[in-house]
Amino acid sequence: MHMLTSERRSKYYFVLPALVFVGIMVIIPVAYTLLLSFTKWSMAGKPTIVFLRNYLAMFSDSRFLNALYRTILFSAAALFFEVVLGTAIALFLNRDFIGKPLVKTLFLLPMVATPVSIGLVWMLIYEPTFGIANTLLGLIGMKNLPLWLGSPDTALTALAIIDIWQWTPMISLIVMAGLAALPTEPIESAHVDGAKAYQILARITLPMITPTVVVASLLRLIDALKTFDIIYATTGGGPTFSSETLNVLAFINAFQYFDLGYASAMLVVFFILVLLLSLSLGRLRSRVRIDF
Amino acid sequence: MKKSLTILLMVLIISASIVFAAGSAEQAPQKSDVTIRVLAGSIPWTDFIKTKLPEFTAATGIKVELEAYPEDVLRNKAVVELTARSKDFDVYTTSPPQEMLMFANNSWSTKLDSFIAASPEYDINDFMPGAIAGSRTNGETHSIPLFTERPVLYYRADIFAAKGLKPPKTFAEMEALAAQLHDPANKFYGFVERGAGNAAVTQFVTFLRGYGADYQSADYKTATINTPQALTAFRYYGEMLRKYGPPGVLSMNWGETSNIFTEGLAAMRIDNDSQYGRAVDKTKSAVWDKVEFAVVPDGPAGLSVCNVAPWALMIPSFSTRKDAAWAFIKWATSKEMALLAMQAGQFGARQSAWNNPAATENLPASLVQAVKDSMGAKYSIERPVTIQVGKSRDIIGTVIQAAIQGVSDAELKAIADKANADFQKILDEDYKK
Repeated sequence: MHMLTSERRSKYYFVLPALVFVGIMVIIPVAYTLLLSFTKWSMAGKPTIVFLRNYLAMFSDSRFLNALYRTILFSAAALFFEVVLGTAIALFLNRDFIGKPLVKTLFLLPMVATPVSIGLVWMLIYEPTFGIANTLLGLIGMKNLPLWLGSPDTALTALAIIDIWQWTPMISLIVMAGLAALPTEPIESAHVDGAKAYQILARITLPMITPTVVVASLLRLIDALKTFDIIYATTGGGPTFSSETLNVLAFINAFQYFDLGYASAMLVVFFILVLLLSLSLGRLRSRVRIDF
Repeated sequence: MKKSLTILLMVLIISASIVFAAGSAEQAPQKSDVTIRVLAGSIPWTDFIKTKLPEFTAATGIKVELEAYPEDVLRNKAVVELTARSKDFDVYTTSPPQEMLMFANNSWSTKLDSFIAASPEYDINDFMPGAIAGSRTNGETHSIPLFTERPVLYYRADIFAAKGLKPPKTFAEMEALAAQLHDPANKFYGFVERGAGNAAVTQFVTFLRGYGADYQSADYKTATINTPQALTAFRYYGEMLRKYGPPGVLSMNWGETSNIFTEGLAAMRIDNDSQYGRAVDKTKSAVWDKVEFAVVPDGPAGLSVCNVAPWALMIPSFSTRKDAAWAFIKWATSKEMALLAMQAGQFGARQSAWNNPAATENLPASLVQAVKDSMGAKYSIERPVTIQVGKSRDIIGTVIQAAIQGVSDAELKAIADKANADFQKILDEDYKK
């Protein structure tokens, strides 16, 4: 009895440093941002308290509302393609074929490259006059070559493509792990019962990996909403703010306009948005349970 | 009880030692000599001064720790250090047009007039009036200009000569030439200039003023970017880039327009003379032997270029080594150093350097002439005169980009009116003190 009690207590002691770390590194900055959001401060002198003025100004600022819309649009579109492509590729890589280790390694490379260098390389690819994107499109006979990052109509789409290229491997990785953990009996019995390949895929495999896919989507969604590096490194939010998402706008307000109170208010709203979306996606996951 | 206490103690000791070990690694032994820390931008001037630092240390015994960063990183870092009142920050390459008012307002820059008065041989009056005026506010000097720059016309002398053309003298002539030389089917564009909103503002101002408009009234308190002349200027700039510019111009800053020109894809380019090096460098430019320079053409209101000192040396007010910092600044911007800098391609801010023929013998002749022709312009500031310069530039940039996209006159007026109102709000905030 004496041993059990002390063992029970000692586990808390081991968790304590991590808790303290999280407390200092996460809770304090978030609380500080919340406090800052009620002030006006340009980093010189003391902050002046303005209560809810930042929040009121934000919701009548068309630049903020557009950034909010773009953030959701960008994340939803990128996530959709990443999940569909990622799952498809995971299913494909689940079987054995010649050169599989090499293909798998090459495929995972975009995920490990640094975002700023990715941004710079894609800027060269997307260059309208001598980049390889338009050169290749020109070779296959396309006439009105897109301006990619240089036009307000295509900048956000071009960035979404970079994001999809970079993060589809992550979704694949998670789904591949899920596939490897699947029990083989249902699939084997389906074979024995004479089910065709697409029937097995649609009726057994996909439903069984749905929880894994939802988890992967949740992880990716949170990061997609926060995308900053590829946007800042390539367009900086331009041209004409067409690729400006909430994170980029908050950064510009904080470190280029030196309006930290306003930027903090934006980030508080952003934080609540990410929190709500992750909670609702988490709810979805607990709803999707397979009984067989 | 004893066991859990032991475990708790063990855990605390391990955590504490990790934290303290990380902390103590930062403490290095203090140097006994005076060492100053200089934060500079990654610009050609910094490369130049780095080679001369040993001479300074030999002459004065002061050691210099020079840190160079790209401009946006530098500006952020400087603001962070100034906010933290860093005592270890002695000299900074500031951008007076962008930062002076904000820094003076926050008392972040040391006033240099007493230092200047104590060194008569320094000859402050040798500096170009326009350049030193940009470093002064309220009659006090906050920084010393390093070099000056102004927009010039870069043009393809080979193509002009082949067609018997001369560089344009007016905006109208330049438009006609761009139309004549524009050949998009062969990937050759008549004219290239900055199209990225914020970045384009400091180039666009030449055209704004050329048509007789300006950012603000003479007392700086009223925004004037939606006057009829301003709208004409926006339209001219927008049409030149829309009709005769390369694709993707909306996201081009000076680096991209320089690439377009040095790859031989443009007939004419306007941007600052300090970038001439890339155009005439055999290893970097496809047209190094085909480019010539001319003064920017006149608008209806006459010569409108701006001779600005974009970089200057400043002493942060929290530095504890101001005398050593001033010794460095005095040396780096002395008449002798200005002459050496000129010969290395930095366009000096001192008149004595410009008037010395030895200084300009390594520079392209047409470039020297273009600069001389630009000296008479009366403007010395190419950005909005206010504290929130970045935000103002973003606002004005939206009108420029709308013009490049070719919106209708009514729409352009609406966008300009909204931008003017937003800009006015900033001026009201910044000037109400």
